[in-house]
Amino acid sequence: MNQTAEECPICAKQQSGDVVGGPIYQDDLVFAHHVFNTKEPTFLGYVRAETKRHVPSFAELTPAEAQAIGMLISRLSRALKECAGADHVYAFFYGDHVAHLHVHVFARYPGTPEEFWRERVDEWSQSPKGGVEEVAALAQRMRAYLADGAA
Amino acid sequence: MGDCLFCTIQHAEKPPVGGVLYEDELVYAHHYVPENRPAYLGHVMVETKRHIPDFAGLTPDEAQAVGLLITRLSSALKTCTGAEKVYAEFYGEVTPHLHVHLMARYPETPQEYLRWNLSDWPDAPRGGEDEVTRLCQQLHSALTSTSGVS
Repeated sequence: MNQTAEECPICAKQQSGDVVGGPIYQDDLVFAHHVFNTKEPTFLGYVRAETKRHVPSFAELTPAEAQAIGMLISRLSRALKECAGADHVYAFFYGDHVAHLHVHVFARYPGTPEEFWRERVDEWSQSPKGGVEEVAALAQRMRAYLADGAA
Repeated sequence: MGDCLFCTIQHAEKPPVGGVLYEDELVYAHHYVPENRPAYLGHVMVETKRHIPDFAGLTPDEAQAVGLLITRLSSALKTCTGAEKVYAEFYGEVTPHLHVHLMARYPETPQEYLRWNLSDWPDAPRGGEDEVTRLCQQLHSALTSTSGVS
């Protein structure tokens, strides 16, 4: 939980760019990608907003990073509504496992029963799930949506 | 909007316990105090001024202001409460007016209460109006004495 930048999985992933579907957005300060589950089908519409800098939490951000993360959460939320059909988008920051700021941004789909709201959205049997192709296709749609500066 | 909890708090029809922690044209922050039970000390709400349900509806200026305020208050909460970390949670399921919960996570919090169970920890630092007001005074001076960021 207190990894140095050298052993941080988030730093490694950003540097290699090796994420399923590729980076959805990145600039000098922030990075976003779709989460991929290697053990079972992936819940479609679960992305992470991260800083480029290896910094543990919101408290340590520079003003420019803080503004960029706020903007990225907002833009990813719009993209999940437009590109994935989400009717609500959650955003959580805990950071208990990896000490490199990452915000979980994920969709809740229309019709999701209330007992599956919040952190259980992916447990609803009718929630959309997919493999590499479906994740990559959604990541591509979101990337294209966000590449339009107006989005 | 007329009966929105956060519009009501911001318009001071029902001023928050401990007062306003931060306010400008776009955003607003106050300490959360539940009715009829002690407050979890270090549970702060960051809100937009505009009655808008979620992050997707924010203007770029609002999105930046929310990000900046989360950072400044996270830093102030660490300084003033001894929190090891500050969680930031946006659920937005009950009141359709953007509000982000900031939760001080204390170093001694048992594993089973981490993440969304933080406020269920029976031994978490809690207090009534006096304790919340004292903490808010400290937070307020931490926010005004520095830029709040390192």
